[in-house]
Amino acid sequence: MQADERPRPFDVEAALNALPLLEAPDLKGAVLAELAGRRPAPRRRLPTLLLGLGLSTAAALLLVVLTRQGGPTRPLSSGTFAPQGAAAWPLVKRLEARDGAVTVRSQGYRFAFFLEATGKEAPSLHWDPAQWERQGEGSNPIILRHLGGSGGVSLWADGREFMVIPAPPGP
Amino acid sequence: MEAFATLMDRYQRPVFHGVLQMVRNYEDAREVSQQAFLKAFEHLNTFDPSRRFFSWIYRVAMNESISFLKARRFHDAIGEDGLDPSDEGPSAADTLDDQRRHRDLRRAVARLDPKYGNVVTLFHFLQMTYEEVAEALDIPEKTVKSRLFSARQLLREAMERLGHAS
Repeated sequence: MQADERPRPFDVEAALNALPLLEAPDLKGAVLAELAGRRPAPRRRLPTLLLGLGLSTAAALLLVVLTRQGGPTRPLSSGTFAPQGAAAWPLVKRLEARDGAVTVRSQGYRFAFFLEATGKEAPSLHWDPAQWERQGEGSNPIILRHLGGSGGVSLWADGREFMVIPAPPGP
Repeated sequence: MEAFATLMDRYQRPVFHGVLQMVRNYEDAREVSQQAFLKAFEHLNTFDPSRRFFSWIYRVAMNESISFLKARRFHDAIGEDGLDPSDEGPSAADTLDDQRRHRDLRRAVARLDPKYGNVVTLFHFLQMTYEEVAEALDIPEKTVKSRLFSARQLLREAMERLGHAS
């Protein structure tokens, strides 16, 4: 009888699941406004860079050689591009580039990538791997590569190049 | 920018609640979360695309929270009065008991050590799986389970001390 009189332990799991989540504020507006208000950092030109870094002559020469190999980087073209090599990769329907971000549209899903104009390598961002995996593409990342001298960007998946975002018209 | 807006739509809620668990004040959490997203935008090139984006942004947000706490010496002045936005009253459907239980539970969660509070927030409030919590916090799945077990134990004790029972 005594056992029956003891209060039952508090069901913390049920209580946690029933706890209403506080309404989260809309952060997007403030963040995007802040980003839009920022001016892009001034581009460092090579002589300024060398002076600023105080590089030795040998290191400077090496940098010049490397830069020439990679070529100057120009901003991405903006617009919508028809996929090239779509037969090889039929999932991709459309590819858009705007403000340095690249968006791939694929059978109702949208995959976004961001690019930093670093000149050579392939910083890329695949924002929803789970959705991508559902498309049957496994977990292979999609890689976007700047094309150095041409100023364009190529899209790679599964180790193959599928399409190229052309460079903007030259000056 | 448009693509980043899409990311924000998707992740601002879980990021905010993770930060709220750390800084324990609604307005501070708003500010710290905004800073975290700005920082993430600036450092997108450091993101490893083989990992989940949420894990990365969540870690950026946690680091931002820690910096905030250090800057404010917040540990000396933890209070839960700022947990709720002041303009939100309780739902009409809630009984007084429900309201009291929710308030006490929210405060008890806020008082947990962040290593426990984070798993509770992600698992119970944001309905993430063990696997997702493990990835977001960069800890093994079995650690998630053991922390959840300990957290529930601590919460149960706290709630019973306040006179709550099932």
